[in-house]
Amino acid sequence: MEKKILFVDDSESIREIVNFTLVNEGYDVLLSDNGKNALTHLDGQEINLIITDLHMPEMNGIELIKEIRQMPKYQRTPILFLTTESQTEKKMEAKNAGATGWIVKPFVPAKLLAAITKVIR
Amino acid sequence: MNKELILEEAVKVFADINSRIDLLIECSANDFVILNKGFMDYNSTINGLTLHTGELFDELLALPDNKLKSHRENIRKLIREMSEIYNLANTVYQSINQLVKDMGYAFLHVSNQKQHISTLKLLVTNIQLEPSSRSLYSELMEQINNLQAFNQKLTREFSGDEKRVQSCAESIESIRQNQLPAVKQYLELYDKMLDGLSEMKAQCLEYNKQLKSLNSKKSASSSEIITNLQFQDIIRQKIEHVQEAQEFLMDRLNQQVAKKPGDAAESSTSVLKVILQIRDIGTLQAAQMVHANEEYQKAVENITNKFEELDHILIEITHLLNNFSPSVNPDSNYSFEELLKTKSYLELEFDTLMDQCGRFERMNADMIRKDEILVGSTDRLNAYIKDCEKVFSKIKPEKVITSQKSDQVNISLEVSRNFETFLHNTEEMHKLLQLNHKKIEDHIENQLNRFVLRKNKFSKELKDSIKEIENILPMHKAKAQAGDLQGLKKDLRTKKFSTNEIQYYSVFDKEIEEIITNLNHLIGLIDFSKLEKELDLENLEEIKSLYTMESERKIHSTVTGEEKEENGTDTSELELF
Repeated sequence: MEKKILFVDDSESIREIVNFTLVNEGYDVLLSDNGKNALTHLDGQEINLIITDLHMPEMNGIELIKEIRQMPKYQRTPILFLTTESQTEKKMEAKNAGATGWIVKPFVPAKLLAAITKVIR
Repeated sequence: MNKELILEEAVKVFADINSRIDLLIECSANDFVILNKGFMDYNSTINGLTLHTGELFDELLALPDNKLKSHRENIRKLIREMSEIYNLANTVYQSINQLVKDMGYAFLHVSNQKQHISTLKLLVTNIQLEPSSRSLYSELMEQINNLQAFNQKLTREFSGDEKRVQSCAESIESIRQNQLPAVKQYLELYDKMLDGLSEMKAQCLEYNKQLKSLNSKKSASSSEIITNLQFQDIIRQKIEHVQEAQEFLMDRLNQQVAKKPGDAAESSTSVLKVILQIRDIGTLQAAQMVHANEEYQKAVENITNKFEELDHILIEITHLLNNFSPSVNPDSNYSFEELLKTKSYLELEFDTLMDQCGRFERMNADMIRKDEILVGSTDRLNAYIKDCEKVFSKIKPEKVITSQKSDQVNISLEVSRNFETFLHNTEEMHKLLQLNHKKIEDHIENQLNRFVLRKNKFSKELKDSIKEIENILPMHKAKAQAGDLQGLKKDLRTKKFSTNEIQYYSVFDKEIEEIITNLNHLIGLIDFSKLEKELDLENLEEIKSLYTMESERKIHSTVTGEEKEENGTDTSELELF
């Protein structure tokens, strides 16, 4: 069965690029443009990985993770940040909120896919 | 310039920059759409082409060598055997031609009989009979008329027989001159195509390596494009950070401009502070914009360079594919399409040959059946003559005057001789017809049957061999591919990406230059001799907090001359918590 990935980013171009990269690799991808909308996808369905941006309108990445970790179904779902942000303080904040890992944009497709394989296993 | 005017000018300049920044964001978004579409087009075309080409190679490589080899050997054997069949057809042709000649000779006898009957009738008419013999005369004339009628019927049958033999001769001539050479021609062409198929299969290993290498190059180029396309979003964020810094400064400026005149000394200090902020932030903004522009320009150039690479890859794959199309590549003597066409034509010509041979066999069978009837008819002809002779022997000529007596005797003798000749002629004709019949039997027994047996064996061998190869040749896919490839090749002509489509060079670069010029103009208005030479770090500290990217912080440190503290890196490696 195809692995399902929820990708959250307010940038349409990044959503398109990530979607292309993941779909090409055979993943089933759900897209959302902010944290609040992303939560509507978390309706109990099986999701193997969540990748999110940090800075987004309505609800940012950290807030999203905090919400997700409250949901029993998704407490152990790996969550990666894919963001331009690289400050150590932000990473620590993400870690404390329950993020699994951090990747800085621009991503290299092979590296992103390797990272996904690593955390989704 | 006095301080108030500087503030007013700064408000104007920043308002102008703000609108230009909006334009930059719009331009980068538009460029992304164009570049992304260009990439998707290349990607789908190359993928489609690679898939088709790969399938073609895989199918060729999957062809079992031993079966292909044995099929080619069969076809070559059949080509060699064609001369044997051709020789047999020649023998049949000669045999039938001889029959045509023999029939002509026999027909002379039939024509002679006609002449004899006419003479007989004339002679009998001249005989003067006694009244007692007159009824016999009528009987004789009736018998002669019957003889004449039967002879006419025989002549017609003979003529029909002659025509049948003639038709057989024409039929075998057509087989010899048309159908056999056509089958041979298509067998040779098919052999050439199979030769091409074997060569292509041998080359396929190399082509497949090239295709895999091109595919790797395509993946590498695509990866670079994907990485660089993300700069649209990165640059947008950087420009937004510049815009945010500007909004911060605009707030200060507007507050300052809106201040009512109060304490002159205090006012002068705060204006000076804002002017210093304009100088410091303006300098920083200009540096950030220069860097963002360089970064974006590099990304756009990288993408367009990679498009060029994809274009080359597309051409290379097309070249690989063209090896399968003799219409495009004159050096290639192989194409699935042509092979299939040739095989179909060969089968069609072969079917025509078989039909023609079948008709020929039926004509021969008909010929011998009718000839048998003809031979039997000579007995009846003999019987008619004997009947005439019998009646004539009863006839007594009238006693005539002396002067005419000898004539009457002569006429009677002449009639008797005519009967003898007629009988002799019929006997000769019977012998000839029997001989011909024997020859036809021999012809069918030997030449024709040998030809038919050989032809049937050939037919079975060819059909079996083609059936076997049909099981291993990827006929259906090849046909479908021929159609799909036409569509893909048509697409290729419209795929080439044009850098004119992107707005970076006409808008983005120009607008950034304009913003930097405006910032420099604003900084230029400030009299530096009356200000602190060093930038005020305090002015920039708030701006620094707007940055999210390591590259932005790096520029900040470079402009301010600060020692850069290590606080994260811009790397796409996964950092696991």
